[in-house]
This record gives sequence, structure tokens and C-alpha cells, in this order.
Amino acid sequence: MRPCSDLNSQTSDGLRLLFVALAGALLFHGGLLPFTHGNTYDAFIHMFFGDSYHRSWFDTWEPRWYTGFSTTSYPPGTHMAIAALMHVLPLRAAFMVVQLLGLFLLVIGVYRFSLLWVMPRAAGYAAIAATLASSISETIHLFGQLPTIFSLGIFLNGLPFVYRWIVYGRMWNLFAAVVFAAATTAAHHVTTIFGGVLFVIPLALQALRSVHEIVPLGPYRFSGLRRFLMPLARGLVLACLMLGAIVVTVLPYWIWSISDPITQVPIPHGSRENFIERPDLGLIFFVLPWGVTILFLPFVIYKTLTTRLWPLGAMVLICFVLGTGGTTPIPRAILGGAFDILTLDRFTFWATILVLPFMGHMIDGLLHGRSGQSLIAAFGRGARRFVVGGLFASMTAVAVFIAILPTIQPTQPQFIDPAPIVKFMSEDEHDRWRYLTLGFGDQFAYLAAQTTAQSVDGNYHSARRLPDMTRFSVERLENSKYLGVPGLGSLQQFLENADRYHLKFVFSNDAFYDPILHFSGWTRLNRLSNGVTVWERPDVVPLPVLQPRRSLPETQRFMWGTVPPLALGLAALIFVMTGLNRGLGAHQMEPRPLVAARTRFDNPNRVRLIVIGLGLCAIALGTWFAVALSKELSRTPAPEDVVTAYFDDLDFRRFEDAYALIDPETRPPFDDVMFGWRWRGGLIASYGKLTETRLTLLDSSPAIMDWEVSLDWLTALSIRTEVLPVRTVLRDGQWFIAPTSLPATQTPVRLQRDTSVVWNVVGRRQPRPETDLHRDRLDRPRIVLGQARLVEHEGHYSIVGEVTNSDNDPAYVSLFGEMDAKLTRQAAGVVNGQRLLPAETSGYRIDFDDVLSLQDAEAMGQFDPTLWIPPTLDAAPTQALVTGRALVAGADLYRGVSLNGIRVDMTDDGPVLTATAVNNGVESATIVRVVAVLYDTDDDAIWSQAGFVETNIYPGQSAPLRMEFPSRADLRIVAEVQPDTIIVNGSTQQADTVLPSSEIGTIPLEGITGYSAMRLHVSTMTHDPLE
Amino acid sequence: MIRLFFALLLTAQMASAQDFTTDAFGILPTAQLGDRENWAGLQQSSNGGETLRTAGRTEAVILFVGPKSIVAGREPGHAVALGLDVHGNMVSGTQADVQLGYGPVIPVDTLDGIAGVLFTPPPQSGAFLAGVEIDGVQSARADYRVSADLATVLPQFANSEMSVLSETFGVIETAPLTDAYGNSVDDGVGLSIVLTDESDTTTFVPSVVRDGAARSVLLVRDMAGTNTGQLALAGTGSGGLGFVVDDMVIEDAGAFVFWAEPAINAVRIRLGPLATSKGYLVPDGIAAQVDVVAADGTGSSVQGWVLDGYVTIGLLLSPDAGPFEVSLTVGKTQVDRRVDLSPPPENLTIRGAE
Repeated sequence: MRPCSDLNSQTSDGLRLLFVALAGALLFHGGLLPFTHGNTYDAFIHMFFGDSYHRSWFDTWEPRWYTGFSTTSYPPGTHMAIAALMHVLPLRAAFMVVQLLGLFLLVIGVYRFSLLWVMPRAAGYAAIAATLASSISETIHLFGQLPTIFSLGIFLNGLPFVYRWIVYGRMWNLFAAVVFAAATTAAHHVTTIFGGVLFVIPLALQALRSVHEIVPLGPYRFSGLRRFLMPLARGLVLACLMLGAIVVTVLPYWIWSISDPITQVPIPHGSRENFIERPDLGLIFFVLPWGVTILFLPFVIYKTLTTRLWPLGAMVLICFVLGTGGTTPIPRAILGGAFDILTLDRFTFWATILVLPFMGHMIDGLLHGRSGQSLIAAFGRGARRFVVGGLFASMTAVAVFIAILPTIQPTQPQFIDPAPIVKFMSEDEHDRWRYLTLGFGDQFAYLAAQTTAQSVDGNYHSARRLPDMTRFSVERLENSKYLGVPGLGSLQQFLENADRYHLKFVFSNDAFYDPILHFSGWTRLNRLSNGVTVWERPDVVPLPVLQPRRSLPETQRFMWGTVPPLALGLAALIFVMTGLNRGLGAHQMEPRPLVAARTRFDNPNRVRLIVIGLGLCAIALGTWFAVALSKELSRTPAPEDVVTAYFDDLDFRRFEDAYALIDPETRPPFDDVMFGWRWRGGLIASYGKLTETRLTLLDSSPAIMDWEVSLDWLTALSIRTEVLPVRTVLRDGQWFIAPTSLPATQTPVRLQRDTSVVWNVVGRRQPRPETDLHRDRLDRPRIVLGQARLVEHEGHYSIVGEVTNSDNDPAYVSLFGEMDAKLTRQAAGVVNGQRLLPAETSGYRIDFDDVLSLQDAEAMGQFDPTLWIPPTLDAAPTQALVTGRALVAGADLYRGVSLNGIRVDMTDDGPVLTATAVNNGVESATIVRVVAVLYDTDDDAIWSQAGFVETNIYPGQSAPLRMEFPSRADLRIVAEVQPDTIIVNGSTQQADTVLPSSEIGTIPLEGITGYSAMRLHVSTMTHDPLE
Repeated sequence: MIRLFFALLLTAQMASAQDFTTDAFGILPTAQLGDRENWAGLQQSSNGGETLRTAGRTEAVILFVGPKSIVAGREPGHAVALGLDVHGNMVSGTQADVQLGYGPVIPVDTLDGIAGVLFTPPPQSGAFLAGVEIDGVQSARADYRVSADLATVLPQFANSEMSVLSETFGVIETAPLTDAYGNSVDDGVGLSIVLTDESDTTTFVPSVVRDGAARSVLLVRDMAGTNTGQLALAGTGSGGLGFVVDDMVIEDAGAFVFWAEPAINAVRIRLGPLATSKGYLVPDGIAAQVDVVAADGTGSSVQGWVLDGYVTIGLLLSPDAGPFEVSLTVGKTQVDRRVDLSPPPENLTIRGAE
């Protein structure tokens, strides 16, 4: 045991260092937080929850996300703290104050926790290390995980009471330990549960060790064991009470978990990936959180093997291994099924907290202890300054780097002012419908916090209950484009079946989604002042006045609103009281055996030798790495690499880089090439994301290679493959791309005139005080649904038919189908003309497929647009019904595109249509859709399909179109839809025109087995995202 | 205690004395009736009173006419007028004078405040404004249209034969589109034209009615020879149209120049200028098929296109493999030549036309 004066001095030093750490936290994190929290992943989610409690403290039903969810699905402590502060502060400021408060608690908690393991001065250094820890910086400034920081801060401050209770007893310690456990749970239950294992178990072992050293051996038999009985019993009592506290504090949460089990597909998380195969994820989830701290691991191992810190060290190492995710099979072997549910970066975070006492101890040794003296003896005082200074400098640099990383590599869209959207939703009763955002990132949660309007989407995936969302690995519809075809499939379900969800408005901040919106029947309204485009779905039923809600019993709501804040309040009271009682920590709390050196070490030469040896090793490794890197960088890229890099550059709009890969001998000036790139637009160039490049060598000579390049583009409609011929040429040892040509077609006139018919559907746009006049309503256009059939094609069930606008006004058509074997009503999607001029006819198809999720065995974790899964049916379908309704349409009725040179040829896989789409009008056709309906030999519609022209078509220009159809033999008619089950506009059908037949306005299909004719309908999206 | 008992008794008596009113819409404390007190109908009070309220004088008239577009000659319209007093009660037993925008005023008795007229407008299309007057109070006007009967429209092309130059905009017009009563079809009605050539290649042209006829602009691209056209308006088809596209004929294919690209062991060729019988070069963007066979048997086929009258392409053929047999096909014209290497053309600017 050390002399008392030394202990007092250490305590005083430790306290000073703690204040330095707190000041540092305030300056460093407090200074950065206002600028970083908006770029984090979770900050806005917690703000939304805070806003929810601010609006109604005791109401646990939040209708604004996921068509309603219970806020008891997340512990409320931090959110209620924000809500309370919102009475005096704006939302964002309240969040930042709570976050900083949590950080202060964490720094103090680290100091107090470290005091249980190392000397006070070392604990002070541990607190400073916590302030500069890259994991904490990442958690605050990159992830925005408020509850994690806040709850861990509370938890660590409660651990000394746990230690004292086990060692000394006293009911006060027990009470305080339980209160802190309850308060931790109020903020985040996971911290209490995992903290109980990761922090309390080593602490309990440490406590038993202390008992062993403090309590003298009695004269009784087995007295060596008997002295542990009471501490063990106390530990058991504490464990039971802590468990009780965890249960009682957030009891409604546990009831929610049990009564409303989450039957949803696990969300893929980067922390479970192999970090060697995915170094980007390894950087975020392993390298950055560990940062400089990882250099201390050898010291941890050494001290684990040689000192009483071994329980702590063992837990650090266990967390280290678990934090490696899928890099090794060990974490999965340890965690079993939990591996696919847990986010494993949390273990890395806990490891970096558990390691802090070691860091404090080592820094203390370097500055005041034996290791520092050895360093001075071996290299002089400057070396020690260099090591310690370099350590702190590098820790600071990494922490700052992480905090500003979103600025360097943005992870979120640029800030979107929510005010125009909030205003839009509150005007003209727009909030009678739900809305959806696309391309907002996590800012969606901030928008949601500003409005009372409801969204079908949400930002807290555990609360999802809609089957269309829980079934797929889509965390949010908002970011569905990053989840390939399953993600877009899920989004498409919502966009097509908008009526089911009362979804009327989409706010799009990403033009990628324009095609799916337009061809799912959405109409672009206008662009708001924040640059966000508003899309509207006509003819959607408004939300009912009384919406279903899941109310909890009064007792549960009362508990939820009172127990967690009470626990937090009590913990705060104890925290302040103990701080004051102990002179703000100036008095040492308990005498403990400390970490002590077992032997003296006084051999500067050996230190010098070891350090120089390690230095040489580091230099050798660095040199090897630099040489390898240099070789890699100077390697002549193969022609395949050049082609791949060229299309990657074009995809990411790195035009200068792409130009540099074009043959310098024959390439035109940059502006000319750029003109060609800008000229090309449409579904692929403007709305596609390159996902894969495949090359096939066609011809080669020593200096020239010709390739057929297949480019897979993910578009909002599907994955589309573009095949291009590309030539590479060798110039001075480097491969280049031969210049490609401009589109081959030209507009034949210099000035084109056109007259067109446009409509103005006035509706409610009248300067009148009423929001709605009966007189401003137009009765629904008469549409006629012809003979419809329920058809099976390779296991897919679809209703196929054609719809005619039999009215004198253009019609916006919504079609719905039902099968007797599937309860859900399904809407027609992109295979539907949707906007029909008077007397126009279009085919339609209503599919009953389910969308493949990543977890389906067929997918094997990969995105494959050709895969699908059949619908879940109670029995084989035998009949179907179709419902249609229409509104007068006034927009998106451009009819300037014709199809020239149409040929339909029979192939082994079925008929193939090839044609040239020609824009005869004066508007730019951004994306052209062709809906084809095929008639069988009985002259009834048997199949309908949509095809898209892949490039934009400027006036007077043209582009190829190709559509492949199934063979007639692959189609099975399940049932004819009976005329009395076809309902239009809520009534029976009435036609103002002669109904179309397979002989009028169709293309005969001679020589195509099983089909007699084809009818085409051409519709066009005309707005250009580049405008 | 006694005081408390009396207090409770008084309170109870007061509660029992509260007056309720019953009407056709339910029961309500009389004190809370508000505007409902003025609603027409029988009101009974819990204290035994009974009041029959009738609607007052007509103060407002609302008129609805539908459907928005009535098919000329065969579809009835429906006009409905509502007479309301100052409290919103329907005024019964009055006469509504309905004016439908044509013909005389139609007097109709209101029944329970509603006057309905089923009418068949004249078979001439147009916009009509209707109004109604009840007790000297006029309604706001209501508009409706009578539209051409699309089912009786027989679409026809304006001409049975027409000819268009290749790579130009042709205009296909219909004869005026009228129904059985001579009404012009409304603007915006959609038609489609299907053109089929001798090789059964088809062209599909959507068309829209403007000023009583459809006028379709068609860029004649990938079309050649004589096409037969049919016009369709919903389920009604037209007679045929002879639609002839003049093919591009090359009169003089100009010079075929082959020169070496030694740096990449390839040849580059320029063919042209390609002159036509019309007195101008082959237009830009016309596809040109170039097939080359070298003396050593190697060959290459490339689809290029015309720019500024020339076809310029590069071929993966060794410059030493010549001379070359070249076949150039533009439209239905094919030119075959035997070519040797020569120096590149002077002042050549390669414009990426490959």
C-alpha cells in the first residue's frame, strides 16, 4: 500500500486532470457539435422522439411514422430530457445540451470507473483520453448516438456503488447502485444489459479480490471461502435488484417487445461484414473507433497477464474480438444467432471504454513513472516529450478527423430546409394525406419533427409494423435505391398502392426516383424553394377522421411518463449529493490495493535496443508498404481496367478523368466530348447507377483491342443492361479508349412548329374562402375495362386486360385487382397507360407477385432482378375482380413520340419487338414508355407488358426500342374476369365510344404462334432532370 | 350532515329538472341546441312542449347539372336544384323555374326542397349555362357541355395517297371528324395511325385532334417504299391510306480514301461526298453499312453514319493487307469498289463520325 500523502497528492492531481478533461470536452466536442450533429445518422431520430414527448408527454402513440407506432419501443430517458428542455430551448439546441451533458457524465464516469482499477492520477489521464477518444468522437459526431453516450455516462458513475456494495455492504450503496441501473435503463436499456456483463463482471471479480485482500482470514475452517459468502450474496441481491430495475423502469417497453414481437427481416449492418473484403466498412466500424487506442493493446495484454487488471483486460480482448464482425468466424461462433441481430461496432465502442484505465495507467507511467524514467534514461527527455506529445497529438488528430469526416466525405445530403415542406403540408388540408420523402437521408426525421403530417416511412426500423416494410431488408423507403431491386421493389409497392396507405405526396430530393414516380402514376407538381420536388398521386382517399391507434393501459402510460424521468432525477440527486459529500471527489473514497510493479527495471541499454528494434521494424514495414503502393500506382493499367475506369468516371460525373482516358491522338477537344456526354440523357444516363461492367474481347491486335462492354445500370424501374462496342488503343505503353461517336440521328429541320392541346383542370384553384366547393368538382370520366383475364406466367399471377377512355376528357386511371386466393388488393403499376386521352386504349397488368427480399433463399444475399417469389396464397386462385376509377387529367399527356420500323420476330424465347422511337414533337422525351397488349387467337387480351426506351429523345431525334414477350404457350388462363365483377367509378360501365377490338388500331402478328395482334400505347415523361 | 343532505337533494332536483329536446337527429339538452333550434321538423321538449318548425322563405338556391359532358343526341342530362332557407332548411312546396341554356323555362315543383329535371339537350355540341330561380331567388350558374358522339364518328384520312421525302417530317391529316349530327370532335381526342410497308414493317403514330381534325407530324425515319395506313378512333377504323416514302438514292458516292494508322496498325477510311439525285448530299445521320474485305482474306463490317456527306470510320485491318474490296450501302443504294492505300486527305478533320 502506498503512503497516504502520496495518495492525497495523487487524488488531487487526478481531480485536476478530470477538470482539464471536462474543459477539453466542452471546448472540443462542444465547439464541434453545432456543426456536426446535422450530418450524423441518428441525431435527428432522437430529436424526433424528443419532439414527440414535447407534444404529448404521456401519449405513447406516435402517428407520424409507419402509419403509427408506439414510442414505448425505445427507452425515453434522453428523449424526455430533450422534451423538457424544449420548453426553454429550440429542438436542436436542446439536443446538443443533452448530448454535452451525457458527454460530461461519461468523462466523469470514466474517471470514477478508472479509480476502481488504477491510481487517481492515472484515472485523470484516463478521463483526458476519454475526451480525445476517437470512438467517442465517432459516436457523437458521426453516428449521433445520444442514448449510448448518455446511458454509459450514467452507468459508469453508478459502478463505484456496485463495487462498494459488494466489498463493504451498506444499504445506501445498494440503493444508489440500483437507482443508477434504473437511470441507465431509462436512457438505453442495452447499456445496462451489456454493461452488466462487460463492466460489472470484471468489477465484481475486482471486488472479490479486494475482499480477499481487505478482510483478514478468520480462525474458522474454510474461513478463506467463508469471507466471500457475504460479498457473493450481496452481489446476488444486487444482480436481482438491478434486473428488477431494468424490468420496472421500462416495463411498457418489455411488454411491447413481448406482445408485439418483431417479425421482420434483420437489417444488414456493416459491422457484421468482413472488414478485409470491405475496407470501407472496416474503416468506419473498426479502424476509426479504435484509432490510436489500438496501439495500447500490447500494453493491455501485458498488464492482463501480469497484474490484477486481468479481468478488465480479458473483457477488453473479448470485446476487441467481437468487434471484428465477420472478419473472422469467432464472433459468430461466440454470439450464435445474436450475431445477425446485434450491431457489433458497439463491442468495439465498449472495448475502447474498457481500455481507458490501461491508457491512463500507461500515460501516468510515461509522465511520472518507471516507463517514463526508462525512456529518459535511454533516449533523453526529448524522446519522452516526443512520445507523450505525439500520442496526445495523434489522438486529437484522429478525433478531429472523425468529427469532420462527414464534411470531407458527405454521408448525408446537403441540408434541406424543412420549412417549405412543413408549410406545404399544413396548407390546403394537405395533411389529410400521408407523405413520403426520397433522398433526404436522416434529415427526414428532422422534417417529421417539424410537422404533424404523417408519413408511411419512418426512421426507426424496429417500430415498423407494415408487412410491406418488415418483410424486406429496407431500413427506410427513403434510401431504397441503395438496396437495389429489393429496395426499389418495396418502394414500388408503396408508390403503386398509394391509395391503400393514403399516400398522396412525395417530396423528392433525388431525381433518380423520377421514372418510377412518373410511370407509377405520380404527377410532378412543382419545385419548392428548398429545391425539393413535390409529386402528387391523384385520386387517393384521404385519411379517415378516426384512425386506428394502439392505446396502452393508463397504468403503463403513467409508468412510461413518470418512472424513467424519476430514475434519472434520483440518479442526478445522488450524483450531486455524493459529489458534495466527498468534496467534489477531493477525498479518496476507499483504500484499495493498487497496481504495483513487481520488479524493478533499470536497464537503459535494453530499453534503447528494444525501442530502436521496434523502430527499425516499423521503418522496414513502412518501406515495404510504400514500395508496394508505388508499384501498384505505377502499374500500366490493363485495357479492361481502362474501360472499367472510364465508365466509372462517367457514372460519377468525373468528366475530366474520363476524358483523360480517351486516346490523346484522336480525341476531339474536351468541350466537344463533353457536348456528347451532355447530349445523352434518359433512363440510363440521367437516372441510372452503374452497378457492374462486363467485358468480352471481340478482336485484338498488339495495339488495338475491340470489346463488347455490358453495363448493368440500376434504375428506379429495374436493372437494365446496356451493350456497347468499345475500342482500346495502345499509345506509348498506355491503353486508351478510342473516341466514341455522337448519336447517329439528326433533326432534319432548323425550326419546328407544332400546335398542341393542353388542359387546365381548375379544381380548387379559385380565389374563394371555401377550401372546397361542390361546384368545382368534375364527375369522373367514363372509362371502360374490356375483357380481363387472370393469367399465370411461370408462377406469376396477373390480371391482364385493356382500358379505354370512353369519355370526351382525358382521364387519369387507377386500376385495382383482387384474387380470391389473396386478400390484398393490388394496384396496377408501370404496366398501365394511366393517363389516357379521350378514345385512347391501353393495356394493363396487375401483378400479384411478392418482391424478393435478401433473406429469401433464392437471393442468397445478392441482388438479382430476375429472381422473384410467388405470392403467399391460401389456395390456388380461381377468380378475380377488377376495379377502376378515373379523374380528369390535365398533365403529362405528350403524344409526340411514334414508333417506326416496328418488327415483331419469333425467337426461341418468345416474340421480340424492335422499333425506333422517334420524337416528332417539340418537347424533349426524357423517358418513353410503350405498353403493349397482345391478343390471342380468340382476339382477347392475353398479355400486357411495358417497355422503356433507354435514352432520352430530343425533338427530331430517335432511339431504339426492344421488348421481349413470353411465348403464348407459357401463359395459362386461370379465369376470365366476369363482367359483373368489373366495377368502374363505383358503378357499372358505360361507354361513349365504340369499344376497341383486336382488328382496329392494332398491329397484326402473323407468324407469331398463339398471338393474333398487338396494341400499343406510347406515353412519355418529358421533364428533364438536367434542366 | 343535514345541511349536506339538503344540498344533495337540491342538486338532484336541479339535475332532474334539466330540459331536453328531441328532434329527428337525436336528443340534446335544450340549452345546447344552438343553431339546431332552427332546424325544420318536429321538436319535442322533455317538459311536454312540442314544436313543428317549417322552413322559412327561400334564401339560397344551389344548382347542379351533370354529367359534365353529355353525349350529343343520345344521353340525358340531369339538373338538380336545392332551395334553402336562411338556416339551411330545404324549402318545400315551391316552384323552381329551370333554364337549361336552351329552350323555354321549365317549371318544376320542389319536393322536400329538391327540384330535379331530366333533360335531353339538342344534338348540337357546345357549352351551356344553366340557372334556376325559386321564390325569386336565383342560383349561381352551372355549366355543362354537349360533346360529339364519338361512337358515331367515322374517321377518314384527308387524302387517300401521299408522298414524303426520306428523313423529313411528313404530315398526315384526317378529314374533319364529325359525329352523326355533324358535331366536330373535341380537341384532345386521341387517335392512332398504323402504317405498314410491303415487308410488314409497321409504324405506329399517336395522333391528337385539334380544331376538329387530327394532324400528325411524322418524321419519316426507318421507313421506305409504299405504306398502307389505317386510322383508329377507339374501336372505329378508317379506310386505307397510301403513304409513299421516297428512298434516298445516291447518284455519286465520291472518293473512297483508305489510309494507314501505323501507330495502331489499323486503317481509316473516308467515303464521300455522297451526292443524291435531289441535288444535296445525303443528310446527316443516315446509317451507312461498310463491308471491307482485304486481299489477304481478312475483313470487317462496320455500321457508320453520314456526317457532312461523308462516312468516316476506322477498321481493325492491317494496312499491309490491301488492296481492299469495299461495299458501301446507304438505304437501298449499294456501291462496290476496290481501293488501295493512299495518303490521308488534306485538311481532314475527324469529327467523331464513327
